[in-house]
Amino acid sequence: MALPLAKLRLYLSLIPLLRERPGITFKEVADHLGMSPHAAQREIPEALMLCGVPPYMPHDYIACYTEEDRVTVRFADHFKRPARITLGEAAALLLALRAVPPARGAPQARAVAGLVRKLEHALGTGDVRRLARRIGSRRRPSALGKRLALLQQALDEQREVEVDYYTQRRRALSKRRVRPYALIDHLGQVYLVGRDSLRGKELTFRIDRMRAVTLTEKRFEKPKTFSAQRYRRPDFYRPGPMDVEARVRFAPAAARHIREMSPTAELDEKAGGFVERRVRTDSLRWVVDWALQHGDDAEVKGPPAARAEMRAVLDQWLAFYGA
Amino acid sequence: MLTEEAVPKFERLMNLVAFLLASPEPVPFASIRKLVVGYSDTAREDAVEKRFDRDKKELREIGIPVEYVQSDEQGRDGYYIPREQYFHTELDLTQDEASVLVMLANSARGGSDAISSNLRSALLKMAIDSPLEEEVANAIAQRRVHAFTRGKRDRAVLDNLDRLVAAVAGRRVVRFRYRKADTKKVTERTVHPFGLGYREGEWYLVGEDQEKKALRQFKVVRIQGQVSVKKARAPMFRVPAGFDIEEHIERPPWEYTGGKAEVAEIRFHPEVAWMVAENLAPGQQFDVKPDGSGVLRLKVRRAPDTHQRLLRYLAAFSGQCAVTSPAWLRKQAVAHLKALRARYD
Repeated sequence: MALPLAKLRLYLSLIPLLRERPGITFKEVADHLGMSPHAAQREIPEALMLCGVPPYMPHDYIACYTEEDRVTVRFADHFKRPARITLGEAAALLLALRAVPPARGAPQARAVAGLVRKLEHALGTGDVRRLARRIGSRRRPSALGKRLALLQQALDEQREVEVDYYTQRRRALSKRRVRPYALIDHLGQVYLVGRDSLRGKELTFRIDRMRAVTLTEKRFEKPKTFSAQRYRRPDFYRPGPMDVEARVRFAPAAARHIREMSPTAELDEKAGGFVERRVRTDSLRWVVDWALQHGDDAEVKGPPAARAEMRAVLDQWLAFYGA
Repeated sequence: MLTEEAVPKFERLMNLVAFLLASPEPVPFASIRKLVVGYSDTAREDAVEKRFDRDKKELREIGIPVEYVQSDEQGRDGYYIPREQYFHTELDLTQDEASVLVMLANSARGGSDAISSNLRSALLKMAIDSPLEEEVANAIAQRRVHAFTRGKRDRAVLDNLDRLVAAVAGRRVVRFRYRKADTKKVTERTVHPFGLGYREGEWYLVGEDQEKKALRQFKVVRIQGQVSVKKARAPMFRVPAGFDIEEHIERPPWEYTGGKAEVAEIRFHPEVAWMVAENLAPGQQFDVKPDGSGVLRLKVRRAPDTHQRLLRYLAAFSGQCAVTSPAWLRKQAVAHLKALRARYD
């Protein structure tokens, strides 16, 4: 969509919101627009100051007042409501709603169903129902729903949880006591972020690796410095001082996918269409599992300890086969 | 009078929409030409008319119904925006519904997530009906974060997603250049887009390839250049009855190609069997054994690389699972693991 049209679409929805909520903060507005509060403060008054209706007397122009970090608009009565949701927007919304992890029986599941009903009301039942079968995301196992509902309760009530957690890199279950700070949905995997009291630090836990979750009576206060937004990044892993650099070489069949997914700075192109990806990790086992996912198309090239780890894993696997 | 260049397009379109919404009756083009800033300039009459025609068309494309009426009840001619069609219906959102929208707004934030422009626009339209105070919304945003995409995503991919969402919704034919996964071959495709699906950070288009006359799945990130959406006033194709996108995007790689579908059994160690049991995909079955181990049953197709495909899933359980049947797959698995092991001698 051309820039002026995209901007028009945005402003035709923004003006009714500004009109409805005098004194709304630029931060909230900026969140809706996907820009910084500073940019919103600069752009919105500038965009609106010359928009009006004939005969273009002073009160025919949209008036935009800013006071510190807040904004109010007047003389925009003809924009009392946003434009109707389009089918394209409804499709995007449906898709996003389908990606919300289910929490069976929890208010969230009812809310998602309620939103779909209201969307049907706004757009026409037939249109939305037909779209719902054509726009979708991978279904999540229902067992996750119960766990999510419990973790959501722990978050709301700021209560510690006890978790039987399976650590992939160690291939072992352990009991954890966690202060839940946030739930992060990253590429279809839901993670709990919280402070692990045993380890004394903030960690992430995949909820599909939790064997059991128990709500405790112990309350806590979330640190004011915590920000869930820090976890909004393409690469979920946070590098640490103990990391080592591993190298995995990918055959042409997998190389394109790896190029699509990796930062260019971490790729080395090789002859014959091969590509080598350098990754920093604190777990050689993770590197081995990642390479194994690609089967013939990946080979761990280094460090030697990672190759040794691969040997050990494959020996163990062949032993499990009795081979 | 102002020249056309003096009034930016955004301002001209805003003025036009505002004028049509504020006017109690249809307005003829002559009035728009005379009164509305952006059209009341020194350009030639036919040039302004062309500009107006272009603007009308573009406004309709983004869902703003600019209509023309010839001789209404009072005998007036002119353009108008029917308010009952234009204004978004009031939604009366509950607190919980508004909370879900806040979570989604979080995911559309920053412009780095796919479908962000359509999603953001929908959420902005719904925000006016939210009963949540700003502080409450901020607290929710701090507790739940969704991130939809991974890796590098450039503007072109996001723009293509927007086009595909619109094409799927409006049933419009699309054309694009597509690079196959296993080769560098790029081919031109014409597709009836039936659905759009999302799986683990990737977007997939499912539709009928017009050249092959068969249903195909396209990974959106592999589309080269811009998707072109054929313009039409009405839907251009029918979606097969019973089409369900989830059935297509759920299909695992080991089911794609090969011989007849058959059931494979994979045994899991007790340490991980519970995890497999709780995360079954549709169509999979799992039997828990008395010792805590378990057997997973899933559909496979016989091909020389079936185990290679299965590894995408089994690698997470390396050393703790083994194919038990059919015999050909077990044999293939052992040979494959031995060949991989030989690389590390």
